[in-house]
Amino acid sequence: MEADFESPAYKELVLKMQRGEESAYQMVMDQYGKRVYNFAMRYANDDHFASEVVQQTFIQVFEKIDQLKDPSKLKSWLYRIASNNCISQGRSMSRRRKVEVDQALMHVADAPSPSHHMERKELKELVLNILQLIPPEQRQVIIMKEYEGLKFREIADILNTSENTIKARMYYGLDAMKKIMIRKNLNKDLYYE
Amino acid sequence: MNKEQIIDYLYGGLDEGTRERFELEVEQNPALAQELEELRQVRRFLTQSEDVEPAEVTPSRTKKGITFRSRWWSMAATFLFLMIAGKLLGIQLEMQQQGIVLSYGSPTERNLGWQEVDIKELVAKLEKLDEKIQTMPDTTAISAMMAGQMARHSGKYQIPASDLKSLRAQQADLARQTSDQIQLQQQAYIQEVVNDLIQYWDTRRTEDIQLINAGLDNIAQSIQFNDKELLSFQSSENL
Repeated sequence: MEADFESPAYKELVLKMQRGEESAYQMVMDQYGKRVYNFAMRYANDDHFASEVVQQTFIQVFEKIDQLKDPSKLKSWLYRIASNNCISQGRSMSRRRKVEVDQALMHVADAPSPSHHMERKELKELVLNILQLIPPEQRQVIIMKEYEGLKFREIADILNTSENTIKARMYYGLDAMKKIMIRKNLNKDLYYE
Repeated sequence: MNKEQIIDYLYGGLDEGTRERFELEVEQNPALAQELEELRQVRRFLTQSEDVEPAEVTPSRTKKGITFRSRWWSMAATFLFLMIAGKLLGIQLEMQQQGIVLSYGSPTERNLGWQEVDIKELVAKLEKLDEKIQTMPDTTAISAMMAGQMARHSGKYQIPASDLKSLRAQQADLARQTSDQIQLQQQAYIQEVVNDLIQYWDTRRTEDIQLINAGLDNIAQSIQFNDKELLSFQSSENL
């Protein structure tokens, strides 16, 4: 259930965190732990990577909560930290892992055929692999919009850029995915129920 | 139609008037209609990726700070990393008589009672001894030297033959005594060096034995029998 960031209860939650109350931290963890994990998982398609991002993100949230002046910005602030962690973690991602992703994508190119109906798990892996092929700044926007349900205005705030820039990244990201799907011969009959 | 408007249309961000105008243009522009359909396909494709449950690694804040429910393999990896890093940074871990010693830099030196300075001193003594042996005068040379001196004196002062004989006997005695004295000194010196060498090897051997014993004690301590096991062992022995 989406929290009402303007509500007094929510502001009280942030104040409790700033006072160091453990129950408040636990509530934020419960609410955003899974979200941050899935955000990072889609960003890199790697469980270890996602776990690292969750750890780093919440460590920074706990350590820097005093710097959050406007309680209603907690969600944006948290996603900004997670987004930055994804980028920094992505830079240090091992070469071995990148080779694994490349190999998985080569496999994708060979597997589908018009008569082949992919399993749900296969499709999910395919989506994550294709997401890895588009530039990180476009990938982040697509994940935030499509999976995290954020508004363009919120994404612009998180990534500290204009709303139009975000929409342009969204367009180029979807367009890049479309071209990859055509190149990989991923016909719509292949995966739509 | 620009990219931002296409995205706004796809995500329902256009106001009613703009949306109607946009849809009118789509009807008249097949390329735009196809592009929109392809982008919708991509969006449908994206819905195939559902949320997953996070792994167990979840940070939590305690009174002592931030802790994690880490996995065994991450701890093992950390330990391995510390071992390798320690080796690369020159951190030494070794067992000595006093217990386990953690040190940094070059490997620790075991103190066996003999330091480098002692060894150098010993070598210097050996070299000095060798030099003395090389320059040691023998009795024949001393006798010849003293005989020559006596002959010169006897010629100068006209010493009587009997006195000369007596003096020659004394000279021979003196030469022998001198030679014996030198030999005694050399023997004493050699004995001293040999004693030092024996002491050195004894000390080393003792230290080695003590180290081996300490190692065996540690191994014995690590195998801890509890009372129950001992009783069980004893009862089985009685049987």
